[in-house]
Amino acid sequence: MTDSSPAAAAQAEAAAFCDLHQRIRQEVGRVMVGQGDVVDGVLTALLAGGHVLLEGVPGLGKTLLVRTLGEALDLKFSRIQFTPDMMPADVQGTQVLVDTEGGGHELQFQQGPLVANLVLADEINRATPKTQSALLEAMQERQISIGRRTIHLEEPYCVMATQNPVEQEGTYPLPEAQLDRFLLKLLVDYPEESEYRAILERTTGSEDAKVSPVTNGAEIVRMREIVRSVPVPEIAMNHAIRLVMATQPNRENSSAMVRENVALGASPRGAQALLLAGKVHALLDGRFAVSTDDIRAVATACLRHRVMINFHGMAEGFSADQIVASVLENVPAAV
Amino acid sequence: MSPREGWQELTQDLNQLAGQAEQKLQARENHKRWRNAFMQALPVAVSTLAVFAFAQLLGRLGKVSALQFTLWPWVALAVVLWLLQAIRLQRRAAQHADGIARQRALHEWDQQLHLADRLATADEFLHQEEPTPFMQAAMDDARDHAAKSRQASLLFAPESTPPRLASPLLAMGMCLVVGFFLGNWQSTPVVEEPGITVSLPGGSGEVQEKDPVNESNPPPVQAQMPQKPKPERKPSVEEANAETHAANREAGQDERSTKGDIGSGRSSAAESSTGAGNAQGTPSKQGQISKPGERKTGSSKPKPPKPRKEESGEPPKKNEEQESGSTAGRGSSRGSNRNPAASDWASKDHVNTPDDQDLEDENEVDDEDEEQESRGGMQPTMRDRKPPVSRDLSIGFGNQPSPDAKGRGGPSTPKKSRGTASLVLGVPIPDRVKGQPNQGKTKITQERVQPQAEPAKTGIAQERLARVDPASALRRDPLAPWMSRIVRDYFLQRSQSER
Repeated sequence: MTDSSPAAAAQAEAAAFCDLHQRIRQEVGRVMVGQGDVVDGVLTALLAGGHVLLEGVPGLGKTLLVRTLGEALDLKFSRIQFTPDMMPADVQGTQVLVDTEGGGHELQFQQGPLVANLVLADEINRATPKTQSALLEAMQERQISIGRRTIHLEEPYCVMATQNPVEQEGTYPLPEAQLDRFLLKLLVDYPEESEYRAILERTTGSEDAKVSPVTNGAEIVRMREIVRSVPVPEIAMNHAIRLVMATQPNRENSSAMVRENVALGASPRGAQALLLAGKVHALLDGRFAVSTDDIRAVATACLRHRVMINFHGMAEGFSADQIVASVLENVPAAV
Repeated sequence: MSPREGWQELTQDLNQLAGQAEQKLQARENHKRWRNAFMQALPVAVSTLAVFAFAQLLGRLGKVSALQFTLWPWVALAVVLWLLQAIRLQRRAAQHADGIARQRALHEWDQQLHLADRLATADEFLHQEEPTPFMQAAMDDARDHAAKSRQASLLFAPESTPPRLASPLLAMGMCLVVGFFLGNWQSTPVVEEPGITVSLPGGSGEVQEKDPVNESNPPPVQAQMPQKPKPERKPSVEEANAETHAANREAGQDERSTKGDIGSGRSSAAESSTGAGNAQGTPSKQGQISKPGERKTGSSKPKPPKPRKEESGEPPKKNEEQESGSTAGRGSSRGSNRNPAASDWASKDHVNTPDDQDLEDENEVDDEDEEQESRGGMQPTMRDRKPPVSRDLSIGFGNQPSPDAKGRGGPSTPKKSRGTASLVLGVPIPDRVKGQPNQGKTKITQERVQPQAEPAKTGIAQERLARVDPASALRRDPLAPWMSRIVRDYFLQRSQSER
């Protein structure tokens, strides 16, 4: 075995990664029109081993995207339509009284829809914080604890949640601990004019686009291992750390905009998200190590839901995207 | 080519690129340090020129005569001090400056050639003892880019932030102008007479006499000392005043003669006037007699003081009719004086006579209902504008609130200091208009209607059978024979015992 074999193996793995990404993207594209950035973001979160939060107005295909992805991945897919009266037991599972063979009864645990590979949490902000908190352990620890029972969730495990920004009436905003567990927050925007024709033709005709599975759970797990093996040089890691610290208002080197308008900055989970998403970005860009460009490319999606704007910033009309943009401007990529 | 050989080539390429970038970065850093040093040293030059201006001022005031230099030595001193300070600051910055890091040098190449940190990353991975497969792949990837980068040259963009020279240069210019002006002003001789040179060094008013005979000989030391001006040469105050009066008389004569020439042909009254304006025949307003009827009464005539209610000589009923909005509807001008601003709070409770009260209330209710309907909804009615409940807990003085109530004495005179209405004099504006918080009066109508039976289908109770399906999920399996026998024996024994 020559010395070039490890590098060649890494190149082959990277090529396989890009090929799988392209196959999934093509299959999803049979149903989903446009929204290329959103599809890439969802696949980035899936392949990086994180969860994703989709936010957009109704009717833009958020649910359709996740449902199509579930069909294309051949994973155990479950959908939870969150409502205000939903309880944690409805999500995690609970013990129910069932009849036994001998005519008796016994309490038997029945798993909730959270036990799956790909979970679509539709309109997650319509549930109460009590129910929303039921997802915390599953998203972070990959397990569910009910009473004395602990259920380890099967890998790959990914929660894809949607929420509508305009329907805030009767909704409960996600708490910071919940938001922090999402690797990316993607904003689904209106399609372009050229995409409307394809959307109307596909949705109003008699033929339904069929999506066939192109991969399985084991391959997704393998891709996640490839992502984890991408090295991060010191220059990229330092840049990620500086970006995250620049969002924290109590830092000396944070900008005036952050100090005045931000109540809570990104946590170390934000830096983890930057590196994981940056690894996927580097692989898709044909490189074998993370660069500062990768970090900056994924920074907005990774940090926008981890930056909490205070009352002053709300009064000034600043958004989290503007804060992150100012941070990117104030923290150059130079060494 | 084995990977190791390729990495050696990569190392050489990176060394060359890093060396080239380090030199250019070092040069740029030096340039930046010099620029910063010169900028930071500018206050020294400004201070020097400020001292120059101050010295000129002192010299002008005669405080210090030794500082009366010309401009150029001060400018030269400022430049020299500026350069010395800049050199000192640059040396100090150079001592504290870190060397150009290799990573930074390679990152500059990555930035300029858009290599996405390939060179800096590969240089870091080259120093790893056991590079992972992905690190090796990254180094292989960077090898071609490094080879191509050797043909390129590193260029730096010009500094985006121009040095802030405006305020220091402005300060320097101001000092120079002020100093130059002061210096030139004091050196100009004020009065020169033959044989006598009067100069004002520092404005002290010294007068020195030049002797034309002894001009070539230097005067003794005592003669060089400042001498007191001679009394005949220094004009006294009386003399100056006399000269001034004489000059004024001459000027007045000239003026009169000139004005007389100008005013020739005019009336004799105009010519005999003493004032300058009268001499020209211009009538002054003070001297003009105006007719009493021509005077405007609106603006210049002071308003008579508004009579208070207690002091008013008119009967109280008339006064109340003018001020109260609720009673102003009577007569031909009914409804025209219903402006709440023209009403008074205290004049509502004792206005109407008992005979007219009922009829007037009825009419007003009808009018208000019509007005509300025409306005399309409920409106605050003027009729309900009653004074609020008095919260004055102290003992008042008659109808006046207690002076010690400090604003809590219940209804008082309406406020006049709100909005545009405060600009209009004499228009009292109540501080609030009382509205109706609820929907107002409710009309209740009762209809005496007999209940009517509605046809309905009568149900038959026997048709409602018992539930066939089990009521719950419990299953009732048939008992086993031995269990049936036990149950049967149990009930038989129980029945026998009861007998």
